Amino acid sequence: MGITFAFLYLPLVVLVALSFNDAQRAVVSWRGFTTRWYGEVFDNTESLGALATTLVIATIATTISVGLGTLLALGLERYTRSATLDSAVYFPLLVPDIVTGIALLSFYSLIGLPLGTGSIVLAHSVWGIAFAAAIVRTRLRGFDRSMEEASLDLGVKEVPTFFRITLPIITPGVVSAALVVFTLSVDEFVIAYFTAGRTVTFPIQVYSMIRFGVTPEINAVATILLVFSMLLIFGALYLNRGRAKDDHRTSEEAPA
Amino acid sequence: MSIDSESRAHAGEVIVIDRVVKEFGTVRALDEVSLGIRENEFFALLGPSGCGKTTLLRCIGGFEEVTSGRLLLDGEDLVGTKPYDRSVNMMFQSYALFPHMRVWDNVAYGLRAERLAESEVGERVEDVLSTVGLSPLSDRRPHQLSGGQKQRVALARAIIKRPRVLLLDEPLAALDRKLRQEMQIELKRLQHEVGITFIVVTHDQEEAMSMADRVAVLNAGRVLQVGTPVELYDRPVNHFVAAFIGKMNFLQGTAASGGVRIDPFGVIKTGPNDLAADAPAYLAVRPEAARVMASNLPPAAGDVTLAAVVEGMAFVGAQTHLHLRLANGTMFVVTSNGREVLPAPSDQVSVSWAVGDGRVLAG
Repeated sequence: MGITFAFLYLPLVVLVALSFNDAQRAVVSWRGFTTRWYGEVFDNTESLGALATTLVIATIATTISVGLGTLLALGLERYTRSATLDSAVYFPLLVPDIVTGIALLSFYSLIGLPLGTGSIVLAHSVWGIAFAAAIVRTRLRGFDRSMEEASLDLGVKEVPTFFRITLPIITPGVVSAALVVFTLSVDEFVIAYFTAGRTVTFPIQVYSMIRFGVTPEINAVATILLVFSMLLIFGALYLNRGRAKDDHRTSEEAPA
Repeated sequence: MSIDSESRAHAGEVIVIDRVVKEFGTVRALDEVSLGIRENEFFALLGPSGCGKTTLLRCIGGFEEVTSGRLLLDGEDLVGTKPYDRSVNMMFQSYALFPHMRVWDNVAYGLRAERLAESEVGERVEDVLSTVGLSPLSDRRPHQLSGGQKQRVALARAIIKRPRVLLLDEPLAALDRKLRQEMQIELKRLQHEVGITFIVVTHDQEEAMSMADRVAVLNAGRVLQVGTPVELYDRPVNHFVAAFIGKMNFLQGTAASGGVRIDPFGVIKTGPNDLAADAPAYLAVRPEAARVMASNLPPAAGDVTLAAVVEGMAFVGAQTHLHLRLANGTMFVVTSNGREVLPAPSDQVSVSWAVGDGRVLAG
């Protein structure tokens, strides 16, 4: 078991360590602790520009994905009994990225959509919607619809009922969907590469830097990405766990 | 029927259900149901699962559209109006409390929807919470409450808007047996206190009998009988109602003048019956109306007496149930309240009952 964990985590540990290594090349020998590579990352205007582009793309793609994905999940849960439609939602997640990339590229050139930030946003929304729908659906499975009926019964119309009852109850699911989609969009390389045109996202920037060899600066960049992704994913997990605890407490106290 | 005579016929009725049909696809859940529910009445819809009782309740609440027929609340047709436009509130079987709100906000929800001044909302919430005995828990979240407490919150939330009619869908089903009995009395008390008409759906005949002023027995989407608990128990109109309400012994035979012909006993005398001669019929006798005697004792004059063999007995505290087998093989249960010396299994005995206690039901 120890070996397996070492296999899983040792490369990451090395990566993080080398990002603090005070050496010109990313050599394995330790030359002393420094944070100057992080400084260089933030001095590099190309990297910063790419990072900004990526954050913009991720924000818009997340908004679209979570909005449409939540509606899709509600629609699937309530208004369809079709197993085919149900699995059709998850299908985009199973298609290899490279296929999605090629498909989107051909499709966008067919309809004459200019490649750039906009096309990446749309491309990321494709699986973002699927992810968000899948995550929100797990939240909806335990949703008691009589809560909405109770709200109508107490004099609140359909639309305000959605905002006062339905949405607050599924919010943890919606937020964790947003965190996951955002993280995936920030990290995503293959699809972005195909649909980017001249736009440079952060992963594309890293890829072009790495062609000149692995520098400590790249290690620093990778470490930043790692920490960022982990924070978001842990955030999403925490939201889900908080909910599970509540459920547990209910089942414990109910018979009292 | 003219409008005038119709309104007279429905005087004092808050809810009039008039030939209501509800179809789900090809399934007829309600088949021409007609009922009148009176002001301040505690009315129960009783029947086995799938009989349509919950569907009827949901139609009154506005959660299902009726396929045809009319639903009147204070003489106004409810068909086509939304749940939020009806002066009717519902307590859901799952209670449907809002998990993200405190008890206080759950109860205040309906009043805030009316945009009442927050001071009035506060007063009325305090008032209702103290009525149901929940004032100390007003800051709790639903998941911090016990089943009985949740039920009280659901009740408080539903009565705070002072609806004309309160609908209760299996209100006690989620509670354990002891709490259920306490809540039966509590609900009855509360209904008196708030002066609202209650319509409660239940599959539990004891619950319906102990709480309701009147009960409608439903089966397969139809109302079989409406009456007070005593009427239903003493004068069931058919085999289903007789079997569903309390315990009943049935002897199968054919109608005859003055009784029922049952092989091999011949015509057994009964109370009056209006079945055509030779129509299939049941003779129905309540277990507590019959007595068991040693077979060598003379029967009381005029009583029906049949020979039987004791198969077994069950002592349940205040009562003992004697299981007998009649000469034609039919099982017959006699309930005895006393502690007199009871026969032993496989004893030969006679079972007897007053002629008037034998009821004739269509077979």
